[in-house]
Amino acid sequence: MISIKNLHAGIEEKEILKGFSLDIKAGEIHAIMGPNGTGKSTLASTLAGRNTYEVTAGEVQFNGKDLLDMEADERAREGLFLAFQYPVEIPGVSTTNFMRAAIAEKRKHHGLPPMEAKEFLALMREKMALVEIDKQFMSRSLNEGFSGGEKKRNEIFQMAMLNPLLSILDETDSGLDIDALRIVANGVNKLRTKDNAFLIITHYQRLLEYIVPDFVHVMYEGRIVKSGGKELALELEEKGYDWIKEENIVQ
Amino acid sequence: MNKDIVESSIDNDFETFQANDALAFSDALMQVKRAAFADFTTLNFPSTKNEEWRFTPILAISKGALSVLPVAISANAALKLNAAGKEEFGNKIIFINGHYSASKSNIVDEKGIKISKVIDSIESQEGKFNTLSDNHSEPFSALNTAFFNDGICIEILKNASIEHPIIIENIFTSTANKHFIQQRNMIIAEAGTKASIVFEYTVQANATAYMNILSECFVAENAHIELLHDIQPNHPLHLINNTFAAQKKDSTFTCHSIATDGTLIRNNLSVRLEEKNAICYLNGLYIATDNHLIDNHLAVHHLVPNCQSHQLYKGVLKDKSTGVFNGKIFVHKDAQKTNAYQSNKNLVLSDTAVMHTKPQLEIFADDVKCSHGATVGQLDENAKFYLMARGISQEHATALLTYAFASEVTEKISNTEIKKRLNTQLQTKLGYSFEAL
Repeated sequence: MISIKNLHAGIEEKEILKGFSLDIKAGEIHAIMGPNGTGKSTLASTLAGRNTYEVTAGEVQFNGKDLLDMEADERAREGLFLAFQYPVEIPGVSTTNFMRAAIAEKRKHHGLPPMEAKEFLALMREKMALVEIDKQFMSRSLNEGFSGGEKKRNEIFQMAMLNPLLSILDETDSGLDIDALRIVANGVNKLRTKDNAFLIITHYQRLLEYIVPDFVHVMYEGRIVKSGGKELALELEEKGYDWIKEENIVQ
Repeated sequence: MNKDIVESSIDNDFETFQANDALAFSDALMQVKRAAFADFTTLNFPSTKNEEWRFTPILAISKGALSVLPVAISANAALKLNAAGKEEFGNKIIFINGHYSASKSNIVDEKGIKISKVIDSIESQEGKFNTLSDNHSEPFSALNTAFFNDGICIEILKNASIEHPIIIENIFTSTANKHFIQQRNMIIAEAGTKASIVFEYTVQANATAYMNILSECFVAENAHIELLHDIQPNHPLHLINNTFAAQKKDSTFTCHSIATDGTLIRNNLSVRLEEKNAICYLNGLYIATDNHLIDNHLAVHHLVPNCQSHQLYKGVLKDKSTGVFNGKIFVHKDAQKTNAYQSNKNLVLSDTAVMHTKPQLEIFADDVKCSHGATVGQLDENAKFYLMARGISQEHATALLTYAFASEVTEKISNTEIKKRLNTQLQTKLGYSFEAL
C-alpha cells in the first residue's frame, strides 16, 4: 500500500528524517514508537503533505502513485488520512459542512456523483455512533471549544466518514483518559479491514493494548532502528527508551 | 484649475436648482438649503489632505464633471423591475435614479407604517429634520442638504412591531450616468416599536452610479431598530452613505453595513446615545476586489451614563483593493458606566491589497469600560492545511475559511430571510457554496 524509501526531510535547513524506510501492506497495522524529538510527528506531517517540511531525498509510493508529487488535498482524496495530534479549531465551519465538503471533493475526484443528502445523513449517524459522539457536536463549529478527548474522537469520526486506505494516527492517545482511549481504539478496530492499513504513532505502549499491531518499529534520530512484533512494545515499556539510545551510540 | 471648474459647475447647478419652480420647496426649506450650500462652498470636496479622507481619494466624484441636479424623470416609466433577479419579499420602496416610485413600491405591513416623501414630512417633523446631519463639518452632509429633492420618510408608529423588513431599493439605469444623485431619508421609530430596514442598491448593466445618500434615524424610547446597508450593486457604484442615528432610553439600534461590491464605498455612520440604557450594535463586513475602495468611518457619541456600544467590523481585501476603517468612540464627561467595545479584523489576501485601520477613543469620563482591537492578517495556514488534509482543495479551503471569517458578521442579522439571502450571496461571491454540494 505504501512504500517509503530512504526519506530525508526537514524544516529550514534542519534535517529531521534521515533515511526513513518502511513498507506497509493492506490489512496491516504498524506502530511507530520512540522518544520525543526523534521525528515521529515530522514523518506524519511529511506524509500528509504539510509544506512547511521540505523533502530533500527519498521516494514514497502510495497505492502505485508517487505520493510526494501530490499536494496534501490530492493525497487525502487518494485515500491517505492523518489524525492530527493537535486538531485545529475552525470557527464558523460546522463539522457537518466540513464533512459534506470533504466527501463531495473525494467523490468528485473518483468520478462519483455527489452523495444524496439522505445517504449522507445516514452515514453521519452511523459513524457518530461508532465513536459515541453526540449529534449536537455536528452543528457546532469544528473543534471549537471541544475537550481534548472530543477532538480526538472527532478525528476518528472523520476517518470513519472518509474511509481511507491508509490512516496515520499521530499520537492520538496523548491527553486521552481511559474511556476515550477505549472509544478511539474500538473505532479503529471496527474500521479495520483486509483492504486498509493503519500507521499508529505513539509514545506509550498503552494504546497498543487496545489496538494490537502486527509490527512495532522503534524510531530514533529520524529513522527506524529496530523492528519487531507486538512484544517489542512491551519490551520498550519495561526497559524504556534509554536502552535504544545506548544501543545506537554503541553502533 | 480643475478645482475652479468644479466649483463653478456646482455654483451653476445651485443657481439652476433654486430657479426650478417645479421643485417647489417651502421658503423654510429653501433657507436651510441655502445655508447648507454656503457650508459646502466653505468645505468643498475633501482632498486626501483632509485627515478624515486621507486614504479615500474621491476624484471620480469631485473631478468627474458630475451634475448634482436630479436626473430627468421621463426615462423611468418604462423600466422593468426584477432585472437583478432579487427575491421579492417584505415591504418594498423603490427609487429609480433617485426618484421615489410610488407605483413600483409595495407596502404589505400597512398597519404601523407611514410612508411619505421626505419633502412632504419636513414640516410635520420639524425639530427632527436636519438636526443630526452635520453640515458644518461634513462636506457630503452639506452637499446632500443643499441638493436633495427626493427621499423617503418612514414612520414606525407607536408600539408597532413590523413583521416584514422594509426594503429601500435604489435602482440606477444608464440614464443616471454622470449624475451624482443626492437622496435624503428620515426614519422615525416611535416608542416601543420594532422594525428591520434594508437599503439595497442595484446598478443595471452599462450604468455607472454615483450617489450621496443621507438618512437620519430617530430611535425613540424602547424602540428596537435594525438597519442593514446591503451594498452589492454588481456594476460600478460610487456611494457616499451617511447614516445618523439618535437613541432615546432603553432603545436598541443595530446597523449592519455589508459591502461586497462597489467601486468606491464610503460609509459615514454616526450614533448618538442620548438617554440611559440605550445600546447600539454596529456591525460591518466589507469584501473588496479589483482596485475598489471600501471605507467605514464610524462615530459613537456616549452622551449620558449607562449606555453600551458594540462595534464588530470585518474585512476581506483582495487584488489591488483598499480598505479603510476609522472607529471613533467619544465618551463624554457625564457618561459614566459606559460600556464601549470595538473590534476590527481584516484578512488581506493579496500582496497588493491595503488595509488602513484606526481606532480612535476619546474618553472624558472615569468610570467606563472601553476596549478595542484591530488585526490585519492572512488566513491561518494550520487551518488551511487541516482542510486540505481532508481532501478539500486549496482554493475551496481558502473560500471556506474566508466565508467562516465573514459570516460571523452576517450571522448577527436577526431577520432570517435576509440573513439566508446574504449568506448565499456571500458564498457565491467567495466561490464556494454549501448548498451546491
